[in-house]
Parts: sequence; structure tokens; C-alpha cells
Amino acid sequence: MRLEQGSAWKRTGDKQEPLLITDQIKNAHRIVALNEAATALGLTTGATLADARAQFPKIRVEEVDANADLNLLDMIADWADRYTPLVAIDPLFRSLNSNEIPPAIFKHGLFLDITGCSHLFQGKCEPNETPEAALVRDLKERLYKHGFHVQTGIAPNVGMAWALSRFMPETILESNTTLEIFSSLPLSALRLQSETTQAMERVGLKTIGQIVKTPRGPLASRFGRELMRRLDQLSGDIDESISPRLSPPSLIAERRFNEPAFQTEVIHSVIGSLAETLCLTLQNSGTGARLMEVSLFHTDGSVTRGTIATAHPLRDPSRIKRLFEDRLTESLERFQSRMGDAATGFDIIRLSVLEKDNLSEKQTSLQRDARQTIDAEIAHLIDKLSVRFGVESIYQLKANDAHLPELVERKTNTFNIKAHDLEQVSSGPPTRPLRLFKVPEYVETVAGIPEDPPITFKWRKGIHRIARAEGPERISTPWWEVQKKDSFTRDYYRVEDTQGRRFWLYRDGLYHHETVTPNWYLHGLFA
Amino acid sequence: MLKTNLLIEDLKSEIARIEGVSSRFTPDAQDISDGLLHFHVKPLDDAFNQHGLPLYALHEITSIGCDHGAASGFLSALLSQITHQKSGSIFWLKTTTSITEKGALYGPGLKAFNLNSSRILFAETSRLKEALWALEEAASLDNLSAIVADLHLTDKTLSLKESRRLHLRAEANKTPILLNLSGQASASLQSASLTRWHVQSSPSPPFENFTDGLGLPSFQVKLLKNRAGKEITINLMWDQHHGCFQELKRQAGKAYTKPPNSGVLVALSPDRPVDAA
Repeated sequence: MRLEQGSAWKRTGDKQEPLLITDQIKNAHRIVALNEAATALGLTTGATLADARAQFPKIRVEEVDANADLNLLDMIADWADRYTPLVAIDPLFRSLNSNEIPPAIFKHGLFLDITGCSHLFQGKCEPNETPEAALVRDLKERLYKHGFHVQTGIAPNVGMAWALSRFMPETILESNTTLEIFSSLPLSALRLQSETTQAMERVGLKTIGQIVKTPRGPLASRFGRELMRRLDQLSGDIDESISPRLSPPSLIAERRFNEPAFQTEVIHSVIGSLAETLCLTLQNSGTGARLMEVSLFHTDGSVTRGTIATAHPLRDPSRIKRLFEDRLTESLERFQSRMGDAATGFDIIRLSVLEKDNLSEKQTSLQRDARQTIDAEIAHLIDKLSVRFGVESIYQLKANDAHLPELVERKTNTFNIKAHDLEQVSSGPPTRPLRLFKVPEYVETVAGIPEDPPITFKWRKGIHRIARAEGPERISTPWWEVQKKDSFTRDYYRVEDTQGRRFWLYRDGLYHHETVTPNWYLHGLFA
Repeated sequence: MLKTNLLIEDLKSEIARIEGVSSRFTPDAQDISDGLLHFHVKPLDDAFNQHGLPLYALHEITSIGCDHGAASGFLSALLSQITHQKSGSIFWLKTTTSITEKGALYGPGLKAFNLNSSRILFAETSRLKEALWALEEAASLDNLSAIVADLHLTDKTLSLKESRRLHLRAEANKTPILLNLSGQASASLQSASLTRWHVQSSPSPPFENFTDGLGLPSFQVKLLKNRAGKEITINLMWDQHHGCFQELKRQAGKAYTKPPNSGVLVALSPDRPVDAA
């Protein structure tokens, strides 16, 4: 819907067509949202679609698309990252009972924790304006350009900010405010379930001021603890924290541009200089970055992100720059082709360290330390490869606490390369194959029943006659997983065919105990 | 800070010059001094002009059909010998098709080749082009003990130029590069490699006196191409306990004997099918 009208629909000033958004609630299509033109016709939310159609047969109607709404909210939240790294989507919306009409005030909200962020707007203040007000003005202006109307409220705690934005928009409260200014607000400003609000309104409690004056004990026993919790959250007696969408980074460096930047070289050099700033801080704290992210805030409101994970704590600006060059090349190309000739670009470039690790200064010794250079060079190779192919494609094998052959080892990205380890082995023939198939391959066999190795088997169109076999080695699923389907006992045989090829076969299931005709599978190849 | 590093590097090489050792630090006295791998199997060693396989080069190990296990076994045995002599970690690259075709490398199985998977760094790519890029990146390091690539070539193959680049890097950085090749296109491959080994399975001699069971890893190795000597076909067995190859000689009775030092002459087991071996 929004795509259809473009981001500037609010500004065009053309005459709008009335539009209704409906959803099926209580077995009827009801209006859940409507635009200004439709409001002017006298329609309201909650009315059934049938009524509306009876009045205005030609009105345009769309089904609600909850996912699209959430995606849009996600996008705005992404965009809002420019103000603070702590952006959260109001969890209330998701927890609402879907079977009732959500009052408009409950809908789509974002929390921005701007503690310590507002002073950045000091320079943009107009006379007699606080930095917070400048921030709000900036936010509203930018969102208006993208076609959104928002209501804001700034307060010392989450509860107050929520109430302000819904009932007294554009208010900014100082940290020493008391509940008095809220006393005239209706109960819905407390973020309660509508049943509670309705129950309280029935006994004549209509404003917050009335509740504050009423003794707490009887209120709590009659309307539940939820009421008291919300009230305390509003007054700030209970701390309430928001849960940010993205984990807050430990370090951030960013650059804002007056004119959007779009040349790839500029972006790379900016990342390089941001990396230098960050590395200074990292050096002072004796740490290095393990996980870094670059966020490119585009002027159209979208955000391009790219992360790099390193095998070793990293504190070298030029290497960080090179890793991001590799990482971003593709997404920048994609971005530029999407934008075409409209040479719009990025107005904020932000580099953040999401995870860091200790990296102590080492004294450079005058003797060559071979071990040291090995680590650094291989770590760099790992970084390069994982930037290009993804972290999951570079790995080591690590022993796992399990006995099923395919689970004995797992991939790990925590690298611990021992350059000198040798394995001591017994002198006997190997009991485990050198190559193991991820998915055991089905083979057709001729085998004696119930417990004999196959005589011949057919694998990948070739028939193999078995010359020698050793087994069975019985491996069964752990007893706590036996209940699962398809978890039969496997009887493994090591076999050699007449050509001298050695295979690892197993019979899946015991005759008559677990299955009637067990299948045979080829699981691995011996040397 | 960069400047001080350079200064220290200069000082280090100055010290090395005064002490009269090569400026390249060798951490392990056991490092292969002449860059040759001696098999200690006379016919095989004699096939090379220098009586040993020149390691710092590109080598190919090919297999077809169901013999991938044998090829991987021969490769692992080579690796095992290399890593005993040359310290450093192993970089092992696989393409996704090679994993589905030949199975993934299995750590417990590697142990039979005296290889510990903690020494191996694995990388997985989906396309051959990416694999070659990653190989070149790895080959530009000079402290890996070996580089291995599991490639399954169906239609696309690596060009002469690409293999030459790898070969030159292997020489320059003194790192053996072993290509484990399979698939249709691997047979017609034109490459700059120093050697090409075609590996087939071969029946294993019974271990000790247990004639019914499987023996130690054995393979028939055809050295199809050898720029450092002559071609040869030989039957080998990997003796994991001693960490060396042993030659298997065919006897008239279709059975194999162990070399004289291991002693026992093994007779055919009575219940073995006639067409065995």
C-alpha cells in the first residue's frame, strides 16, 4: 500500500481517495484503520465493513496485512538507529489479544533510549530550544519527509513516555516530574488490558488521578497486580528497561555528512578513518574487536549493514578497512544498481564494535618468534576467507560428546590450531572410515538374515561382491532419543569387495524387533 | 609504530647475518632440509631423479569410480609423512560437490593416519573459481605445512594457467599443494603439476593372523606423470604404527606377502572367494 503511493504521499496535497483497512474480528469484517478522507466521511474504527459499504458502496477497502505493518515498523526502527543504538519495538502490540479491536493507542510504537544522546543536537538548537526538543524536531521532520506522522513524548521513564506520546504528544518532561500531570489522563494511559480498564470504569474509576488517591490494597486485590505494576512503572518506582532490537555495541564511531556520500572510495576511506578512531580506544583499553559492523544510513531511510567476524582480536585499522572493502563490495554494487542514476547516497556512516576481546600489548622481542607470526598470518587468512565465503564455511573439527558416528565431531569456529600435534595410533587396521557421507546412501543388498553381512550390494550403479567383512559393530541411538521415529539400532560392517575397496555399511534396524525388512546404507569409505 | 616494526625487522636480519644463519627462521630442526620426501620404498624413491619426491610443488592425486577412499588414504598418508617433518598447520579446502560425491573428511578416520584434526583448518566453497581463489590466498602464506584441495571436476576444470600459478606459489613459499581430484573432467586435465598419481584400491593383506578381517590401508598407485623422474606403478600399504609406506608384492598364489622384516607369510584363507584379490 505504502509502496504504491511512494514515500512522498503526505506532501503532495492531492485529494485523497477514502480508504479503509479491515480485519476479521469477532466474526465480522471491521474497520481497523482509515485515512483522513475516510474519517471526513464520518466513518470510525470498530464499525463493521457491511455498515460502511451500505453508506458508501464504492469505498476502497484493503485487508489488513499484519506482517507488512511489522516490517514497516522494523524499517522505521532501523532508521531510528541514527538517534540512539537502543531502539526497541513496543512489546505491548505483540502481546495484545488478537480477538478484539486493538485501540488505536496501543498500536505500533517505538522506544528510543536517548539518554546521553540528545546533547549531540546541541548545535542544531534554535533559540530557547533544549537539545531534546531539537532531536524531536529533527526526527519529526525527517519522518514527515518519508510520509509518516508520529507522536512523541520524552520522559524520564518508559511508562511516562508511553503515556505522553499517546495522550499529551510533543511534551518533554524533566527528570523530577511527579504523577500530578498525569492525573487527568484516562486509565488506558496505564498500558492495561482493556478488560481491566473496562472493569474499573464500571466502578467509576476513570482517571489516573483517582487511582492514585485510592488505597492500593483493595485495588490490587480487585483488579490484579498488573494495575499496581503499571502504576509504579509510570511513577518510576519500578525500573523498566526496554529490550533493544539490536544488541548495543560496545563502541561506536560515526560520521555524518551534509551532502550524501555515494562514491565507493569515499565510503571506504571514511570506514578507514573511523577504524583509526576506534582502534585508539581499543588500544587504550587493551582490547581488540572480534565482531564489527558497519551501518550505512541511506537518505531514503533504509540501512545497509555489513558485519565482519574475526578469528583473532583485531586492532589494525588498515586490516579492518580491507576486510570491510571485501565485505561491502557486493552490497554497494547491488545498491548502486538499484538506485540507478539517482545519485543519492548515505548520510551517516557508522562503524561499531559489537564484541571485543582482550588483546594485550606484546613486547616485540629481538629474537624471531615463529609461533607468533604463524598465528597472526593464519588468523588473517581465516578473516579473509570468512569475509568472502561466510563464517560458517571456515571451520575446524572438534570432538563432540556423542557416540553416533555422524555426531562424533562438529564444526567449530573457535580456532585453536595446534601446529605440532601428532596423533599416536594403535597398530591395528582403522575402525572408522576416512570419508563419511553426511546422509548415508541407500544400497540394495543381498544379505543373509538375520545377522549376516551382505554378500553383494549395489551402490551408485555399481555392483560390489564382498570378499571379506568384519562386524557387526552395534551402535544404537541413545535411550533418551529412542522414542523418536526412525531411530533404529544400526549394525555396522566393515567390508572389502573383490576389487579391494573398503566400505562402511550398516543395517538399519534389527529384524523383527524394530522393523520387518531393514534397509542397508553405505555410510563411509575406508582407505 | 610501523616504523619501529621495520626497524626491529632490520635488526633481526642483521643479527641473523652476523650469526651466519639464513634469515628465514626454521622453528623445527626436523624440517625437510632438502625439500624431498623419502618414501623408504626403494622402487618408488628410485623413480625420482633425486631419490625422493620434491615436495614444494603442485601434486595431483586422482581417482575414479568408487576409489575415492583409496585416493584420500594415499593423500592422508603423504600428509602424515609431510607433517612429521614439517611443522605448521594444514589448510584443507573442499568444494560442496566433492563432499556430496566423496563424503566429508572424517576426523576419527584421520587418526589412523597419525593426523590430528586439530591441526587442520577446513574451508568449504561451492564453486571451483572460489576454491582457486582461496587456494591462492592460502598458498601465499609461507608457514603452512601443506595445502590440500578436494575437488570434484565435472564440466569445469582448472586451466593450465591456473595450475601454473599454484605451482609457482608452492615453489616460492615452500608449501606442498596436493590436489585430490575426481570426476570426469579430472582425467583430461592439462596441468602444470609436478606429479600425477592415480590411486586405485587394492585388497588389503590380512592383519597379523586374522584372515577374515580387513587389513591395513592398501592401494595401487600409478605415477602417471612425473616431471622429476620416471613413471611407475606400485602396490603400497600404509603402516600406521611405524608411520611409513611398505611395498606389497604379488605372490603367485594371488596373496600378498609382507616385507621380510614383518615376517609372516600369509596364506589364502580357505573361505575366501576365488576371484578375491
